[in-house]
Amino acid sequence: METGSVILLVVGMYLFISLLTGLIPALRISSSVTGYVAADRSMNVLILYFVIGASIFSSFAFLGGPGWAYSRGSAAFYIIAYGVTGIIPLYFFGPRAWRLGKKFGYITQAELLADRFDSKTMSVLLSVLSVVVFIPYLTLQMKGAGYVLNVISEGMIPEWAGAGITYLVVLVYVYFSGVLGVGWSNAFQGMFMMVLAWFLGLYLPNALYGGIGPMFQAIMDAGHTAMLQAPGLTAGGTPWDWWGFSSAVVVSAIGFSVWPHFFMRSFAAKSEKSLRLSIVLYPTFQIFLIPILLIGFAAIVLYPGVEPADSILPFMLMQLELPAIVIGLFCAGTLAASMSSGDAILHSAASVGVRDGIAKVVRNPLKDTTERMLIRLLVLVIGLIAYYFAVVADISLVALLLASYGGVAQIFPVVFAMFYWKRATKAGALSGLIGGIAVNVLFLSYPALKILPLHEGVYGLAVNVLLLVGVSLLTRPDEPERVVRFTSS
Amino acid sequence: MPEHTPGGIRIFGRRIPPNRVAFFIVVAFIQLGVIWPLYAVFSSAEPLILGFPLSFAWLIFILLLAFASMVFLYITDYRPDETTPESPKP
Repeated sequence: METGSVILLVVGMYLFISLLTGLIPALRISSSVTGYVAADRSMNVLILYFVIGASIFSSFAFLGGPGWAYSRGSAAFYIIAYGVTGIIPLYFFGPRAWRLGKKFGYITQAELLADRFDSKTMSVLLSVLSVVVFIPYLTLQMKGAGYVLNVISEGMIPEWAGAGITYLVVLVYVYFSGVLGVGWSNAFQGMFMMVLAWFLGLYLPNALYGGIGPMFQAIMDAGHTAMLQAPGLTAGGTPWDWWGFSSAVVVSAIGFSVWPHFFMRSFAAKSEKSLRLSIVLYPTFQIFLIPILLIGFAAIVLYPGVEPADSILPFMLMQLELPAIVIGLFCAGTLAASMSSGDAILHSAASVGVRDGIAKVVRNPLKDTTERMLIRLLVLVIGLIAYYFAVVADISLVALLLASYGGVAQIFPVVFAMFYWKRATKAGALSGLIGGIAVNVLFLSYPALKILPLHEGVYGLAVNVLLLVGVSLLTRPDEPERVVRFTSS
Repeated sequence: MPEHTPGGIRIFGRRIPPNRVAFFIVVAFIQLGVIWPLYAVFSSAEPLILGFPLSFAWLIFILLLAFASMVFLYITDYRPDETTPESPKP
């Protein structure tokens, strides 16, 4: 068989299996909103483990990870570094959110916060923030899928078609199965990605240099020692400073556990013990970033000057004359990385948009069936908007996405205060959140204003915490009965 | 909730059990291990450890340490004689 047909066949089979695993749960899920958004609180450790793991490993990690290692050396360690501690708060927040969810019916993060601080504004604010952050995130995943299919098929599959077919599959299973569709397909996609990453990460250094040690030795012999010295290089090729690296790691770590699509998985768990176990096992998923980075390092000496850096992995595979089936599997692996994040984001954006946004601004409470229908409708609308940006609009999304980490991190102080600080008040929480986001955007837009070269999120967090504490202490305490429900959950 | 595990420390009127105190100390070390100043100590390319540059090998060590400490926390939180763990109250 021709190379092209083999690749298409492998990719086609992968997409078909993804569709099936995504659709099967539709048969057993209840038709309520809780079923659609939080899987009727029934996810076991295996599914949760993959949902939590796979939604972080996006096409950004699969293409951007090797790209960073290739162009910026150990700066890419940032991708591993922030998750190391970033996951830990969820071990403590998760079971509290789960217990409250079970008792009072919460299924999103904003619902918890809005109830604790008795504020519809908070709910709408968070839902707007989520959707604004999620659309570029989803667009990036679509672009990654279209891009890889285009490169590997040597232009045979145009980007719009690649992204279109891939996300049609996602759209179908998210539409019908909700979060369980995301869960089951992520389990399949996650296993697939892991196997592939380890295979490529160990195979490439061996095939090209005779081992990992000889590979790094060759990088040093070629005069690139500075790349291997933490914290690596900036995008411009000059050494990155510790201020920049450390603050980026800290801000991303703080934001990590409160990403709305990530946090709300707590509500889907079967029990708090299974939630905790899947969080504890998370680093085993993270270890798979090591081979991903090795792929990028393998290209430094042999293929200098490839632009853009993110294309280094498909570029290498095309150079190596590998068997068609391996290339096909790689292609499917990249799609798995893209889809396993894209589906979770699509699902969460629609759920949060309706549940915390639309439902809060309409006058009458929504009926369960109406709400579910609206969420499904929004799945389609958000999917189409992201697709439009992916194939038509030409804006720098990576910058936008990286910038959003600073914005999302601003949710952390209010979540922490919700569970652990009785004296936090509505006015304090709102002013902290709004002030933090505003300062973050200010320094993002005018980096020259920074006193120290720190990530803008650090400034946002400083103002956020000051306002949260200061304003809370100056205002009357919130109603104790309501507060205690959260602090002693 | 009955306080059946002796020891630990109190912060803001909340008692933190000893396993969690130990965990948070290790986490502080881990956090410093991935940023300045601790990571700076292990940031050089050489020596190669098991084939990896020191900067990379250190990060892998930290990642494994984080995993081990979380497993420790989970196991000690769910000891058989303690069916419901103390509520997390850092």
